[in-house]
Amino acid sequence: KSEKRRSGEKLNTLVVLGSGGHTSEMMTLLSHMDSKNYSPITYMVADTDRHSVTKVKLLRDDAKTSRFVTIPRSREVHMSWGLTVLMTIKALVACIAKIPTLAPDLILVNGPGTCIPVVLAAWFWKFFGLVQCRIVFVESFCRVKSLSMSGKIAYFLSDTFIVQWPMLLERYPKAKYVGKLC
Amino acid sequence: AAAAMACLVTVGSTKFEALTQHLDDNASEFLDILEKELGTVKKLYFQYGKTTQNFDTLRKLCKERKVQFEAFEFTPKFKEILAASSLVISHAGAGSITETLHLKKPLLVVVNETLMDNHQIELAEAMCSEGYLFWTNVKGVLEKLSTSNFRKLKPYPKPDAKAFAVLLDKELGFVDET
Repeated sequence: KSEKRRSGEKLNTLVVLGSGGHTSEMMTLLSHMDSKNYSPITYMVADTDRHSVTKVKLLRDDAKTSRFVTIPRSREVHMSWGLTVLMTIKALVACIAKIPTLAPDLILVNGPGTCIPVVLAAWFWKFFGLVQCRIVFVESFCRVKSLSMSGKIAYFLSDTFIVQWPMLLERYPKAKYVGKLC
Repeated sequence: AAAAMACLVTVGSTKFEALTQHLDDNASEFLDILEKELGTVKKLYFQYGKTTQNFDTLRKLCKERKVQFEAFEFTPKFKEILAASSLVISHAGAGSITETLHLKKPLLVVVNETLMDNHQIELAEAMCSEGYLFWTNVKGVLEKLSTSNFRKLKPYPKPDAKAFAVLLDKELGFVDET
């Protein structure tokens, strides 16, 4: 299913950060990944996010050699759905422009609204064969019986979809479960 | 330490007036129950995030009962305060829940029913059914506090997210799948 890596091969990794809890969970996921395999890391944040970059720089040794990229935020809390659609399109256009230049081998996301334009854009370029990358989505620990909106979309667009509660496997059989991660 | 019985109420970065107002309105009963549950309560902390609350009654009663009362929006010392607490009452945010359980603290989760999409109940329910915490809505806080046996809670085994890294390596082709 996945191509076997050459010895010493490193994957250019794009990590999308979201507000608060999402970033914390992502830091936990990253802390166990072998940096030999996943490097360099580019962190992508919404332009309104003030805290995620600070968290990364505090917690990650590789922050100095990592890139930080911003994209327009898709949705603010309590934003109307009409405005959300317009903002998402704006973010999507920005991502479509940015992804080929970043040329990630792996896109790792864990559910904030910010990640959906990124996943859509990556899937768009993959569809036209201009980008070869794997999309890995990890649903949040707080999702026990139902997926988040991002999860429902990413379920069809991602190559690997991971959940943290086994009940979700019944409705989403393509998902993978390896126990709680938080 | 048994000496400094402390209770922490935390709402993360949310607005949760329903909880803070309920506890302030029922301050006397709340403090009575805490005393019954924890023994002599020396400290009561409120981390109130974006909540608007003056805690007038609680401040007054705590002063009378010689309970040290501290309310703050956020604090850089949150981990220390959490570590020093004997009982935690928390909103149903995943981060607050896991942070509290990683430190093996007795936990009562209060779900905010004014939130539109309340998937938070799912997490509280699931963690409760696995024996790691108790949960309630705001109306049931005092009753849940007085009737729950926090000693019966199981310590939460902090998960090893290494399983994620192993799966990722396999999916991305870093491990021999033969």
